[in-house]
Amino acid sequence: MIRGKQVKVLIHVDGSCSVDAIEFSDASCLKVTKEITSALAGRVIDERYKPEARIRQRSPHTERERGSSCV
Amino acid sequence: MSHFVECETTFRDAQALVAALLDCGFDKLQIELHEQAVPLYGYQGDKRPQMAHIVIRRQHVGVGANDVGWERQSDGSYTAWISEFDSGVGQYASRKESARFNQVMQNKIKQEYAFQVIARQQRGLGRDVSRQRLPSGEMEVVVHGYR
Repeated sequence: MIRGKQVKVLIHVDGSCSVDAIEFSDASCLKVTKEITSALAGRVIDERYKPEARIRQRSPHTERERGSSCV
Repeated sequence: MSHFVECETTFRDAQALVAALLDCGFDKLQIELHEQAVPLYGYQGDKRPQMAHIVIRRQHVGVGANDVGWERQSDGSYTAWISEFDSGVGQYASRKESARFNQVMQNKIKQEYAFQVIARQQRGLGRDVSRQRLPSGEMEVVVHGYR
């Protein structure tokens, strides 16, 4: 299994896509998802941070990092 | 950290759309690409009011078919012109399984287009792109090479 920064795109049967930037350590995760969604050029249906990112926010260390658009 | 976006796909890249049509079984010689929109013709050779920049002529679509085309709009997106006969809807709903451009084929074109447009963009940025078709009919694309 390949680890590290990667983007997984699930292209649904109707052509809509779920774009997921994984294991990014900074705001670049937002940049790469926007890069791909701009290529797809369609309406954004949903946009959110994944649960594991929210869990990390609760730790004292990452709490200080709030303000980054990607935390 | 992980950021997630769900979005629709809109045809905007003519080259990616042509590549998608090739992936869907059409031959390069069957796909016309025009800078200026050209007229579409019906199954009897009658000129239709619709115009298109990307065209597959009726003889390449099937028996009794009409021209199929995609017209570039002022916002850069492409609108598909597919007759009810060729898409198997309306009065031709009974042949929706056999119609060449039925909903299944239209979805397949959109799916292939989405892959093409992502792969072209990301490979152009020096990244590795791989894909696999899932049993559900969905396609999983993985992009590596981020620094």
